[in-house]
Amino acid sequence: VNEAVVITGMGAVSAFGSGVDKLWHAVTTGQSGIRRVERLSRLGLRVTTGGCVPGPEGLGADRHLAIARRAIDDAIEQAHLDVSTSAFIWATGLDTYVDESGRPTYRRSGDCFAALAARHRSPRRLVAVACASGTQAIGEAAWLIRTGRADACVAGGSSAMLDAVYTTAFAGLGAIAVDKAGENPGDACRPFDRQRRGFALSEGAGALVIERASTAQARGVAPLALVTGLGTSEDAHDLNQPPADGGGAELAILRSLADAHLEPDGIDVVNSHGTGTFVGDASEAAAIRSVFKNWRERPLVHGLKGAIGHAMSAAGAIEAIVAVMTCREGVVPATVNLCSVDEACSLRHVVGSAERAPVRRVLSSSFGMGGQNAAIIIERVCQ
Amino acid sequence: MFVLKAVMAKDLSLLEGNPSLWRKVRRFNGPGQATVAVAVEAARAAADPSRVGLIGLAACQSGSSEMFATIGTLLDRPPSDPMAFKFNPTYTLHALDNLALSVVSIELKNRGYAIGLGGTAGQCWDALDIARARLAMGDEREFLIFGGDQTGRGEGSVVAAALLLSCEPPVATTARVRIDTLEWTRADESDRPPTLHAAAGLAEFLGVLERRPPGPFEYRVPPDHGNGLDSICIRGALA
Repeated sequence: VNEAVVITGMGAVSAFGSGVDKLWHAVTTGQSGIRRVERLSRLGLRVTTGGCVPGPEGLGADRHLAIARRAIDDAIEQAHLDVSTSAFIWATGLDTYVDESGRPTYRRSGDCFAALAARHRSPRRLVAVACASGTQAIGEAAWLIRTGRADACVAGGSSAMLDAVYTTAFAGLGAIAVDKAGENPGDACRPFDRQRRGFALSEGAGALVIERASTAQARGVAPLALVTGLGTSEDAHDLNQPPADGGGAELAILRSLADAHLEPDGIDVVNSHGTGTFVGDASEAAAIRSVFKNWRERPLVHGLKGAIGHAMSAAGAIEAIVAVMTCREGVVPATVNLCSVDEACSLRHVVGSAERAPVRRVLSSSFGMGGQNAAIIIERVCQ
Repeated sequence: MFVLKAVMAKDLSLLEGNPSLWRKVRRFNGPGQATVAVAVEAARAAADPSRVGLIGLAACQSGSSEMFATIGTLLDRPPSDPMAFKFNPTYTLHALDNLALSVVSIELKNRGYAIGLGGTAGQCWDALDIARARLAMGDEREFLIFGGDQTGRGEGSVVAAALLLSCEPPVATTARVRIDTLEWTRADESDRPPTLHAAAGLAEFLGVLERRPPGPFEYRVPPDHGNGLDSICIRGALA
């Protein structure tokens, strides 16, 4: 079996609220969803900003479930999918310590996954490759379908780690943007910028229904886009930082191109990982320059984390949804807070405001701490 | 697919003869150390360890002793005290779900296909399924699956397992397990909830096969090693 793999449903929950429309409108109009987070401010931490999902009441384990279920239900509804016929490949992130009644309480990632997975058929897989999880979950789902091992699959990821434990832990690693006196919270995360100093932690979820083109057609559901390639790799370099030359990331990108039977010039847009960390952004830019020899002109490169923050295991899934919208609308969002491009991050960045462009394919990539890399290719459906 | 080598550990003795590896993992918790040790040991039998497909099974028991100590500190000290939050999450298996996968890839200088599964019950069987499918498709020639568990909060006991799998029968006669199919069938609600584990199920599976005579086998995964939703059956043959 080697049938086309299509996306027929999407659901997104982010710092801009619930719904793909809200997310798309915000990222194409240059907004930032990063704000002062009251529960962090109260504790007097060094980091008090983040991308908090508005809406779901309360905190704790139920909050994560509510965020994830909203995205999944939206995707299923759009695809008119009988959920009992679909596999489930998800990333819930790590075990977390959530803020319940003012005190962090332990919550197992497996409990959240089990609650989400119960209504699906097998395979039901929980991907655990740190920040690359959401992207790899989508790629693995596409591989399952392409090889005839499932007809449909709900894939993506969710995360609700915006609490004292994780903001402080990431601050200890120098990965997160600590507060700067007088700065607007929305300016904290600055991907590829000279002034970048780390990411802004956020929460959210992204869900996609991925299925065989023929099953979508049989239900009369129009595909939103295709998934045509997956590449993964390991840095095999260091637990805490990627190699300066981006060698592992480059391998993942090249493998995704090979999987899609594409040359680099077949990619119009790169939806970058772009966390805003000093080492990570430079490494990623090096990888992109190495793959795309004509990088000064194309592909267009943009990143979302200045706008929505880093939603960890959900990040790749939310970014894939924006990649689908980019293909469909022919609009490439600008990288929020990218004002002065660092020389080490030179690329054909989209800065200032969104650009209109004919877009056939978007490469969406994610690179996990510890050195797991994943890249997928999203392609416009040609009428 | 064939099991080329299986390594199980209930302690850290594998590290005693490998001081170089011990230095690299000495700050991990017990399951993390044991997982890396069994994986590296199993990889010795690979034709080319740098090209083996890697599947790490993230631990899914409750948090490590280091993590709980840190959280305890967080709760007990004023949050404005910067020392209250000082810890490095890469030294606790549960703070970084892909820790063992990263360490093994570094140790084997492996930049190939990799995936981490886990954090929930029964993912080791999905790992076997991924390896079987990708080996059958010719994407990789060999796969290494590895994971480790701890029981309860704190160090507890350590169980780690690693399997080196190949699409081709082994030249040597030491490997005797061939896995042909894995099947998931929706089960009625079980009164035995699954144990959250990364490697304990694999270890018991291999232990059971060790005691069986040559010939075809059918292994029904015990409910406490399943995923809580399906009846899982593995079929193959023992040489």
